[in-house]
Amino acid sequence: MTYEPIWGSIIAWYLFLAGLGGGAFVTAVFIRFRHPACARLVRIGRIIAPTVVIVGLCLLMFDAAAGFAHPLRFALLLTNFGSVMTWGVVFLAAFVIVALIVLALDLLKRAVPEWLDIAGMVLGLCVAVYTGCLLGVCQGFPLWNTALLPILFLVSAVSTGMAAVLLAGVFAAPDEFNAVVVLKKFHFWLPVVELVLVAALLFVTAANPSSAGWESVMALIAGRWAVCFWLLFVVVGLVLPTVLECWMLWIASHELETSRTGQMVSALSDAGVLIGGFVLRLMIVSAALPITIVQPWML
Amino acid sequence: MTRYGMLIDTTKCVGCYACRTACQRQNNLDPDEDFIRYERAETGAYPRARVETVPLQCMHCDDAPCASVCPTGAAHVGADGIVAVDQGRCIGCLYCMSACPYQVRVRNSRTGAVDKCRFCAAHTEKGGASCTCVDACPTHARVFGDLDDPDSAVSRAIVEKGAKTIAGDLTRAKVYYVR
Amino acid sequence: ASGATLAGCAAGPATEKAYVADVVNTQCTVCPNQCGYAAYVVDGNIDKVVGNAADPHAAGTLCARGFGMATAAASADRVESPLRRTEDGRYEAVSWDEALGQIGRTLADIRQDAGGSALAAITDGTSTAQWYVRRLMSALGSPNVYENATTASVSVASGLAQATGFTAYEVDYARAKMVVILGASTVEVPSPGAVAALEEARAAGAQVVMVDSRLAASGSLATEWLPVRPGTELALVLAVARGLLERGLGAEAPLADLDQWRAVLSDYTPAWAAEICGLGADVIETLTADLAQAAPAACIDLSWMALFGGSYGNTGELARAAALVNTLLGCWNVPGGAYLAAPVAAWADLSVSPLPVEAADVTAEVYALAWDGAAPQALRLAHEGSIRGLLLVDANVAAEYPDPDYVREALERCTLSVAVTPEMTETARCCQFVLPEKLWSESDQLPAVTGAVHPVLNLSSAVIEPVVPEARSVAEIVSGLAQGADVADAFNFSVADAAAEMCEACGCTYAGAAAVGTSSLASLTAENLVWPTASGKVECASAACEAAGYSATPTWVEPTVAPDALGFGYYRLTTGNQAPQTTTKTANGAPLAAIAEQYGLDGLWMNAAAAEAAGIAEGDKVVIENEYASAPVRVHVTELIEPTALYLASHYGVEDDEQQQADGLGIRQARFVPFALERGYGAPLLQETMVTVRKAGA
Ligand SMILES: Nc1nc2c(c(=O)[nH]1)N[C@H]1C(S)=C(S)[C@@H](COP(=O)(O)OP(=O)(O)OC[C@H]3O[C@@H](n4cnc5c(=O)[nH]c(N)nc54)[C@H](O)[C@@H]3O)O[C@H]1N2
Ligand SMILES: Nc1nc2c(c(=O)[nH]1)N[C@H]1C(S)=C(S)[C@@H](COP(=O)(O)OP(=O)(O)OC[C@H]3O[C@@H](n4cnc5c(=O)[nH]c(N)nc54)[C@H](O)[C@@H]3O)O[C@H]1N2
Ligand code: SF4
Ligand code: SF4
Ligand code: SF4
Ligand code: SF4
Ligand code: SF4
Ligand SMILES: [Mo]
Repeated sequence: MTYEPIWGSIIAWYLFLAGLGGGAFVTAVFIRFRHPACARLVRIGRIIAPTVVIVGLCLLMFDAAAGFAHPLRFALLLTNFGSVMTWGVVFLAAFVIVALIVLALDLLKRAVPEWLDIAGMVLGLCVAVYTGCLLGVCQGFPLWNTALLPILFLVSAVSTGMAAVLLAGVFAAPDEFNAVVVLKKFHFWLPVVELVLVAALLFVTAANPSSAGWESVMALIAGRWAVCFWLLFVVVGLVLPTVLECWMLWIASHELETSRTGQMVSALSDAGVLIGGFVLRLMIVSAALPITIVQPWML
Repeated sequence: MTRYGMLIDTTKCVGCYACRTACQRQNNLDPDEDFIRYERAETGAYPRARVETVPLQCMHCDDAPCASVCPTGAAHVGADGIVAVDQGRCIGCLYCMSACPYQVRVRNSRTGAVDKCRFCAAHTEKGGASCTCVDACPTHARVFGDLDDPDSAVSRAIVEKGAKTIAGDLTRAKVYYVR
Repeated sequence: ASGATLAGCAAGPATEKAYVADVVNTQCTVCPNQCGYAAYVVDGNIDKVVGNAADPHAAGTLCARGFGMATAAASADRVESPLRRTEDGRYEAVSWDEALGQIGRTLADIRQDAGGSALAAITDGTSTAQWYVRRLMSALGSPNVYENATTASVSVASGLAQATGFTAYEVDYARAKMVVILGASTVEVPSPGAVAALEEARAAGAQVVMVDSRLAASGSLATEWLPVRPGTELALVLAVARGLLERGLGAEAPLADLDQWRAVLSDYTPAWAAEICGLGADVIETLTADLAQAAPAACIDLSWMALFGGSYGNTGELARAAALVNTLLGCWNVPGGAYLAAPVAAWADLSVSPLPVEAADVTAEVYALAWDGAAPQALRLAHEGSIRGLLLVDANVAAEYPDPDYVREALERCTLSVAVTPEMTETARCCQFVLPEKLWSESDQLPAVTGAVHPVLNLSSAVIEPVVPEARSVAEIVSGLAQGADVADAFNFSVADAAAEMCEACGCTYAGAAAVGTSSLASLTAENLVWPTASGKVECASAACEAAGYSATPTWVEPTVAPDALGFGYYRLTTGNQAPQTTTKTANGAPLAAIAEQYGLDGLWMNAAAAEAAGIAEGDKVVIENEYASAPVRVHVTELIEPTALYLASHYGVEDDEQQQADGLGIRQARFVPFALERGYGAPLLQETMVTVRKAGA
């Protein structure tokens, strides 16, 4: 019997958007403190953050078909505090509320209290970590059931959040885009860290005593997902951004870096990060094999 | 206290699917809703090859991971340790399906809610002395009863046959297997 | 309905309401076992079902098919009203009066023009259909009534009859010390009782040998698997016979002309048989010794009807040889042996019995050995024009006989063709009339007598109101046809009247039989066993077989086609049943179709070494092909099949669009088989065909 993944691309979108939203908020706070002059970039981050998270939540509710048909049941979501998903709902709800307040204050041209931004940032990080924990507690899937996954998703979330803000910034606020050098240098390192984390995740998973770990890894690097993994995730999502940003940040002249061409190169790199971020979620959700399908008995 | 459990002797199982369709009839399930899933294994090479079927279903884990992850409390450990799903609470997030290490939960394609083996003898009003899959099995590969009663048929069979849970101590399962 | 109200034991939480249901004893008719069961009816719908514990077939439960089909009446694909085919091949709804009147008149006309012998009927063999249709046909002067369910098993029945005078036997698995099952799907086609008994025997240390070109999942019950080259077990049985005689068995056996056979057998050494069937000579030697040791609680089991009883050019002779070996073993009607089933003699001359017919069955002319006629020959005669009117009751001949196109032409050439069926089928699609039939759960039936070790009378009552209001029972339809054909007098009784007479002839009352569902009858014991043969003994030599071109005593007969072994790429395309499917009735049953789909049961089996040599891997799409057909199918690569054989499960590949559940499942094995019948016996040669197999796109 062939194994059909339990969750599909809708959940992958949800995980991606939740992480991206959290990351975008973190980015906005980062800019607020590191590059206080770049108010428009901050606002971009504040717009992206709640929007994508709300879209993600809508997808989640849609995917939960029984709840979608009986919406009142969603109220029950807060009944089991032993569930990671319940905590996720708490984080997401709190995050969306804070992010919307921050956005409202920003749009109304009122000062956003520092503590509120910091609270939002902490919640954003929680959301990002939660997306990894959600899968991580499922003992049946070696690919998920490791502490590396929440860290990987956190890094990827911040990376995609920054990429989204920068990508929007290239078009909406090109001057500010050129100014946020520290952010870009920080952002540069994230795919590199991700690469290391993914390699670690694959090694740990492959070494799982159940063959499901090995087969999941093989599905990723040499099986059904190989093209996706190597081309879209590794090349487009990690190597390309690293190479392009390396060129822009450390090799290219300042003129080239800040020229329209330079900006487009950066935009390409950020788009790559976003694609890689989504593909990562999709692959992790879909390629994971449960131990009891591959080998139901371990006597 | 009563703690219901089951034994499945795979050396007697002929992989006939009777338990699946009997269960579907008893519980009025949809045609594609299977509380019992079968794994088949071939051993040896032609002409000395043999075949074995292992029916899997909810193990009614004492420490049910499905219940601990369920955000709505729909999946819960109920009376007599029977793990149940309250269909009216379930939102269909499928988290329990991912959390169950045995892949024995199914989504009802009409309602979107999740369901699984109910240990139907003990907990529905139309149960008999034993579960339907137990009564349906032509080779009597299955035994149901109270694990806390050392004299029950199931407790004695577990001891006699040296039955074990299917995946060691992955969870505290209440379905025991002979292989 | 003989319903009693039952308050279920409320073992659960006190808050749940008590379970209240009407309980009706009825029967599963999905396969010829006709297991008795109790249906619990809640709000007019079938709720849970429980197999009758007194019925040895059901043994207190049902099989996967029985449970899965219990609610078949609610299928979305039922025929809603009588249909008549129009000029352009479509169907128009007509009233019952119009349909029955027109069919009845045409039946009478054909009889007038060409005689009753120009009419034929094929039924599924269930009790009511067979009884009513036979009575109708006899009233019309036609002896040509055939059972679909035994069509394929005709050579087994006939070969047995040539030797013993009986047509079927049932093995007493529970008490057997050893049983050699030819065609191991005896466990895949289980009545639950047979499986239970076999497991009981195995647990008690009996030797269960399965001789089959593949090992089904249920083969886990075997203590030994002997994978023979398909079509060659006659060689094995002959070598065993020789070995048994050498060991002195059969000295006391009631065998006529044994010495004549003994002389013939001398060449059939284990080494000779090993060469043909692909088993080791030592394996055959051991098998023979073990059988001799275990006799008389040992036998050769032709399984249900063995390889559906007529797959090969040598099946009839195989049955004859097996009957003789069992006689050598002394196993007839002794505990642990094989029980011959006595016919219900008392039913021959009831006031409701079919009337005797002067004319002889038209298929006997060419197929003289066929016991009770050869249905496929009737189809051939329709193709050739001498049969002009065909009545098909629950028989999907255009799907399940070799060369479906030939069968379709045969039906289309008839002046009159009528399909009685609950759902549209390939056969119904070529008939002029399609009459919507009630399922058994919707109507009262005549009793059925089944079983030989523990024979029983089963009675089936209506459980629910008809789901399709227009549908009628076979009894109602046949009575209506009789009226239209002006032989209404033949049916001046009701089903209940006839059932009562039949029950009483067996020593039970109708009401009593209905209340319990299953009533026990006496079995035939070794002491009162009388051989209904000319010599009053089991006969080694048969003049009829000799006249049909076989030798007088069973000898080796080659199958009609042979695989050219590994490397050349010609494989024998075998088929056989599968636990969750029965005939074309179940392929469209939603709970069973779901199993087939989930577990890929409709795939083609191929031996692992053979597949590797051909560059084919598990799950590949392959194309099988011969001069008759070509079709793509997913392959299942396995160690559990003989290398020269391929296996396609029966009954998939439904070709009618209206059967929506079956849509997309598998391909039809019969498409790859030419329309040819076994010499003398008249069985369709379903496995006498070779195909090539290659990776799709290669
Ligand atoms: N599940 C199920 N049960 C059924 C039915 C059904 O359709 N499905 N139909 C009912 C009816 S009508 C009948 S007639 C009976 C038929 O019951 P059986 O006579 O048992 O018929 P099959 O299952 O078709 O048997 C074919 C078996 O023989 C094997 N085989 C094929 N070729 C050879 C060969 O050359 N040599 C040997 N030794 N084995 C071979 C096949 O692999 C398969 O296991 O079953 C009845 N019961
Ligand atoms: N390739 C291949 N061919 C075979 C065999 C094989 O194993 N392989 N087996 C042979 C044997 S042994 C037999 S007996 C024949 C069987 O051949 P079939 O003709 O398939 O079987 P039947 O049981 O006689 O009749 C089936 C018909 O019963 C009617 N019917 C009755 N009740 C129901 C119901 O509840 N639902 C539906 N959908 N239809 C119902 C329908 O008209 C249906 O088409 O096939 C033979 N042909
Ligand atoms: S087997 Fe799965 S569904 Fe059943 S209790 Fe355990 S975790 Fe839950
Ligand atoms: S699908 Fe239903 S039972 Fe499962 S975790 Fe979600 S709410 Fe709970
Ligand atoms: S115990 Fe009942 S609900 Fe569970 S699998 Fe068996 S029949 Fe189905
Ligand atoms: S009913 Fe019994 S023999 Fe059949 S599949 Fe289920 S456990 Fe196995
Ligand atoms: S063996 Fe199965 S399909 Fe055949 S009559 Fe019995 S329950 Fe029905
Ligand atoms: Mo049959």
